Amino acid sequence: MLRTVMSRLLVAVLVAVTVSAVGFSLLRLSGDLAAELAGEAATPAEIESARIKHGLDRPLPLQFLGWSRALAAGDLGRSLFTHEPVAEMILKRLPVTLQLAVYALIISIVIGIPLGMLAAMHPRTWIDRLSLVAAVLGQAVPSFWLALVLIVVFGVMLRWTPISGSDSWAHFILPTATLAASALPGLMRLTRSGMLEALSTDYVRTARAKGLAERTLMAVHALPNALLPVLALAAVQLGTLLGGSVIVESVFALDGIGLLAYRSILRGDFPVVQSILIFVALAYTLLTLLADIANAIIDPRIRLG
Amino acid sequence: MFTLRSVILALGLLLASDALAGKRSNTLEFAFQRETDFVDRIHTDSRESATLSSAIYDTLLYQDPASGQVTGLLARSWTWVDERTIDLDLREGVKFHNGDAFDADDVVYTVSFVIDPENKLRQQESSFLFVKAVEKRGPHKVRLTLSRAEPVAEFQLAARFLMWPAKYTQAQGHMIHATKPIGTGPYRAREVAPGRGITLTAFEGYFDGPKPKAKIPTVNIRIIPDLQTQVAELMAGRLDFAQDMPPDQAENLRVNPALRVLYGDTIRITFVSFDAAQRAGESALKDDRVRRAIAHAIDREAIASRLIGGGSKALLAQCHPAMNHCVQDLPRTPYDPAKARELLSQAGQTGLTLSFAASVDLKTVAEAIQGNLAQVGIRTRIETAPLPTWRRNFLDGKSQMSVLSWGGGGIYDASAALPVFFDMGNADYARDAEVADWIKQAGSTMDQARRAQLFRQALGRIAEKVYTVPLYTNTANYVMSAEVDYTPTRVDLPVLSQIGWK
Repeated sequence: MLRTVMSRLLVAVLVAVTVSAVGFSLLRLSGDLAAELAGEAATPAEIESARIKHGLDRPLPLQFLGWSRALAAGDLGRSLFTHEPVAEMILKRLPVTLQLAVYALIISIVIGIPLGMLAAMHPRTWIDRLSLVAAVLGQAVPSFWLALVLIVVFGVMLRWTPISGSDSWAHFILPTATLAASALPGLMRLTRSGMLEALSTDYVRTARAKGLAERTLMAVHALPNALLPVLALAAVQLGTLLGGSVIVESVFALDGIGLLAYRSILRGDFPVVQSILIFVALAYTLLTLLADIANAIIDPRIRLG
Repeated sequence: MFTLRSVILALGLLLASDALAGKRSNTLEFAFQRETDFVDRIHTDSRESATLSSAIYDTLLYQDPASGQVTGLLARSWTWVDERTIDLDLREGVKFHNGDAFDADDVVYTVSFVIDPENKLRQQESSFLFVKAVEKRGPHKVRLTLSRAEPVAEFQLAARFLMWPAKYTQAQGHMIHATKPIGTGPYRAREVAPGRGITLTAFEGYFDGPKPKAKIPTVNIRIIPDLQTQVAELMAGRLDFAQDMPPDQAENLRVNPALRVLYGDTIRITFVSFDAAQRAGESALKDDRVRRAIAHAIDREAIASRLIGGGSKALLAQCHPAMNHCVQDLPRTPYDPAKARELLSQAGQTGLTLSFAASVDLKTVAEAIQGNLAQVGIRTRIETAPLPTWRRNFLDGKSQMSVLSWGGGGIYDASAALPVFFDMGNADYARDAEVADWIKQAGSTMDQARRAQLFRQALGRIAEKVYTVPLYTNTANYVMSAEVDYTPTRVDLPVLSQIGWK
């Protein structure tokens, strides 16, 4: 297992390098960073001066190498605009994003797994179909649209919840609901298919023939087996939620990593964008690895490698 | 007896009660769409930093936001000793927010900092480096020596020459102004939370001067990037003041009795630039008659009144009419499609196709112009891009025809509108050496009569050769709670200390 873990960690590093190289190229090709750095009313001469001052006149590969060398020495650099250390900027905003992602995952699990079980226990009934419709809707509705609908209904019409900001737990209600809506369908459908598969196995049939109560059958025999892939998906979903909160954070003005990434992308602040990309890529890869390890520990039939 | 409805209502009140805005809370909830890199206008220059700087700091001179006239602020008065020397008498009895007294040492420290090229400030050359040296001539007297004759020096001293407390800044380092700014302005910064917002409280010790004292005790500035979210916050009564809404959105909000939508004039203008110099390759735009035909084909009045609205006016010259030396009696090209067709026919350009670039925010204007040009038989391919990309292409000489806007740093002088686009540099698509020379001379002489003559020559030639089509004056909109009392000024950003309750 140790060899597999090591090789997966190496893959994580390779993913981070690839993501950062692609991100760097896309970011630098999408606008003129020197013009942004020089400011809104800068003259062409001042834009050129900013280009030289920040070394943006050097070839792109050289700029990337310079940044990578500093990264290898453990220095994420400073924001080109605010001069704040990037590591500090990310750490300051990490709690908000983590909070949002964890809340959304908990909501998805708490609603998604029972819904999936319910659908599996009543296949091809209205309950099953309704949960399928809910799953399709959750996956199909764009999060910015759902966010606005929730804002209009609960923030403007009913005035039950705050609309933007991250000052209190109440500020997380609408963003969590929006983010959870995208994570919930996958968990629900996987639970449903896992349960259906488990319910059709010989050992469940035998248990049922022995007269075991349906509730015990579900809880003790079917569910633990059905939940194995769900556990793996939940870990992957957490990675997705960490990286996928950009739109939700900007709509609800939550000052997390997503909003920081959005702002930094808009103005081409590449040390910040690069560091966030690497963080998200590493988080995603490591969470997937953790899920695999957890699965291997829980289910002796699974072996890593 | 508890009902489900009452429980839900109570829960709703509990959840929503933490963000009540308005007169009752005596806190102005104010939205910024973007975070500013720095609070002070020395480190950066953006609309957000200008709004905050005018609240937290004071400049040496003050430009009245309504009239544009310059008066004394931290400098009570000033005297031009000669073309390159200004003596300033500083106001006495002024205190910084930390209790330090303001005097000549603060001016010497701050001015020395901003004119030191080693500090590499943004737009340092155009904003600060016309000052060569600063000298203390008494506890409340300083002398500025200029590096060149600068006819708009007074406007510049009223723009970014805000004063830092010398002792505090020396002890903490100049970057302290990013997180714990200390100035002499009508508001003090209580909390700066990067990414989230800034809370300002009224500075009780603010001196009696031309800048108004704070009217509202607390201003809570929140960063809300999404305009739809700002609209929702306004409608829910949790935001008191927002700005720069898309025009259609602002008009929709007018029907809400709890809100007011006001428009203000700005010094910013929008115009069409032609590649007369053929920098982007050979094209029909080399011919004066084609450029004139396009000018005749564009219905500027309709674009200003119907598309832009809010008091926008069609332009007659390549500068804002409120700017000094922006003469209006120039050769005109009124809306006349028949004349446009005639000119195109004379030039042998029937079935002309042009590429037309615009930044995303000016797409609707480009489309309106595209419609106008189609009526006289000119086809245009609109190429929109985000502002930074559009700007890079423009400066790289890739624009055949572009629509763009320019604010000129809020300086009320034709020299703020013209040099960038007529200096034979990257943004100059006319490349008329005489025009560039006239404008350069006007920017380096203090003789106002001579300047007037030079600008008249330059603007006359630009109009005669139709190097550009000046379109309209830009407006700014402000959406606020009906309880807010505010009169928009000509500066396209709100002056926080002028905002009060009704």
